[in-house]
Amino acid sequence: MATCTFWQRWRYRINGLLLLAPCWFLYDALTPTFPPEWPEQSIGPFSAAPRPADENPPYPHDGGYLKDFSVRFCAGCVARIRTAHVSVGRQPADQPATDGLLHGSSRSQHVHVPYPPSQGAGEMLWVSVQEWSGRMHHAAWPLPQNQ
Amino acid sequence: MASSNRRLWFLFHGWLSLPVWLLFSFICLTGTIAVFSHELTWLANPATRAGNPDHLPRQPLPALVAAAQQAVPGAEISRIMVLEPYLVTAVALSAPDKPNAIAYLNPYTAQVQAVEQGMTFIGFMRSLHGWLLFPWQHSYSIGYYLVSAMSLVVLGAMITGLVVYKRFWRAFTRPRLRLDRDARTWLGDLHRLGGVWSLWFLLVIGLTGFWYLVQAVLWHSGVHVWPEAEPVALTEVPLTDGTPPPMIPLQQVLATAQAQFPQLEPALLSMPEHNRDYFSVLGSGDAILFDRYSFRVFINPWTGAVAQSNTPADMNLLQTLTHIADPLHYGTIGGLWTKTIWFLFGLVLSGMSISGFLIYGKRTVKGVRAGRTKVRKPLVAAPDCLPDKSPGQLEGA
Repeated sequence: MATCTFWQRWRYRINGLLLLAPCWFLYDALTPTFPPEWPEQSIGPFSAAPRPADENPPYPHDGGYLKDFSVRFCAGCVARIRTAHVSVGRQPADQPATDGLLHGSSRSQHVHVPYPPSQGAGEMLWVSVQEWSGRMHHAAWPLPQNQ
Repeated sequence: MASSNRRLWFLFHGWLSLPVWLLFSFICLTGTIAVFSHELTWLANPATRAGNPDHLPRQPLPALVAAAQQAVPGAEISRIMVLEPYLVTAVALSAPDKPNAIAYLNPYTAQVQAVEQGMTFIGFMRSLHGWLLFPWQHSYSIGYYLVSAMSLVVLGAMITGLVVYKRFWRAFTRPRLRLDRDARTWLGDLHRLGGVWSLWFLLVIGLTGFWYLVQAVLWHSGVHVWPEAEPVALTEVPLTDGTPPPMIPLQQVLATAQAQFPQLEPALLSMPEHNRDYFSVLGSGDAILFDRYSFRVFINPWTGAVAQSNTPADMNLLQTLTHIADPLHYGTIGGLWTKTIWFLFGLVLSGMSISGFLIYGKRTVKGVRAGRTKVRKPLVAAPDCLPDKSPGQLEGA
């Protein structure tokens, strides 16, 4: 009869190694890193700087693709904005139905930007802002490759 | 049942549980602690206690919001969470120097007792038990899959355990715990006794856990349990000369929700996240079994109209399951008493995983020392390391 090998002795204890994962993820959550902010631009009377949530390509959602951004507006500007949305294309998109609307606090706005299935030439990231008076303003940023 | 057949079930029992027993115990233990995470917070942090020596009635929520705004200059309120009567009401806010903070308000005196930032113990225990802190990839987390898949271990071990345990119901009528015998015997007694007496608990946790697994798959495949509400029509958002118009006051929001459902007890009030979003008031009502968010009212911040409302009565199957799973899984269904019961049985469940492994270990060691003399007959195929593969005696089975 064979005596128990190393594998047989330890096979039911190996699953304990998985408990190292939460330790690593806790460290990760406590020391988050973000991609750099894109350069600030003026949008009519306002100014804003978008920052992607990560450097991954857009993720699938409801049959389309989204990518998350946070947008930092000039101090006190969010209160002066009626609606704002972010889109990708050669031209700024109209007011979207759901995704693409900027939301959050005045210090940090977030948005889930709808992306086309594949990136075409000349497509930009558009931030479209409407004042309470109804005046629209747009600004565009070039898109990095595969993001 | 033929004894060889029962041996096979016994093997299944081990194969199901032994390869994951440490992870399983960890999930059981963190879940057990999470049952009391609110009460442990109460114990550890005096600022979370809702003292009420003068037996004052609860302050209306708008008074709490006003107090938070006064205490934290520049605070923008995003959510108000009403907790147990002995706990503060939590007001989530963002302020110039505090982008993500929670103000703890005494719901009876409207005093701000603390403004805290970062992860709370309650949130930490929830993430640790629910998905082992694995990050969320938008619609799924590997950790959430791992944890909810443990429901299959719970249900599988329960069923196989019942099959191998001959006349298990005798554990109710004639419980047996031979503490005077060797460790393997009393551990086995304890394992079986714990298993049979916590059958109901295994079922509750196993079935709700299995629902969480189904829910994870639904999320991952993009199924919306609650359809996303269309944003407020642009035409309903006022146009002005440039000055921001006011939204309807919070008093009106709550009065509208209360008028919609007179039995509503608000538990979570969320402010619009943008100018085309709604006020949402989620609360409990007169439906038993349902969670504290099963009466829902969404209110247009400009017109004050109810855009959407739901009660348990008009929920479909998925919505119903979503709103009854948590109280059953968390043990909050009957307050502190049921939490205590869930905590104790959570310990039993953790203990069964540990005792199961110890019994296996003792059997292996004993098997090796005794040179297999106790093993009745070899089981499937040629065992390369016999004590592991043959269950030896089916003690008590």
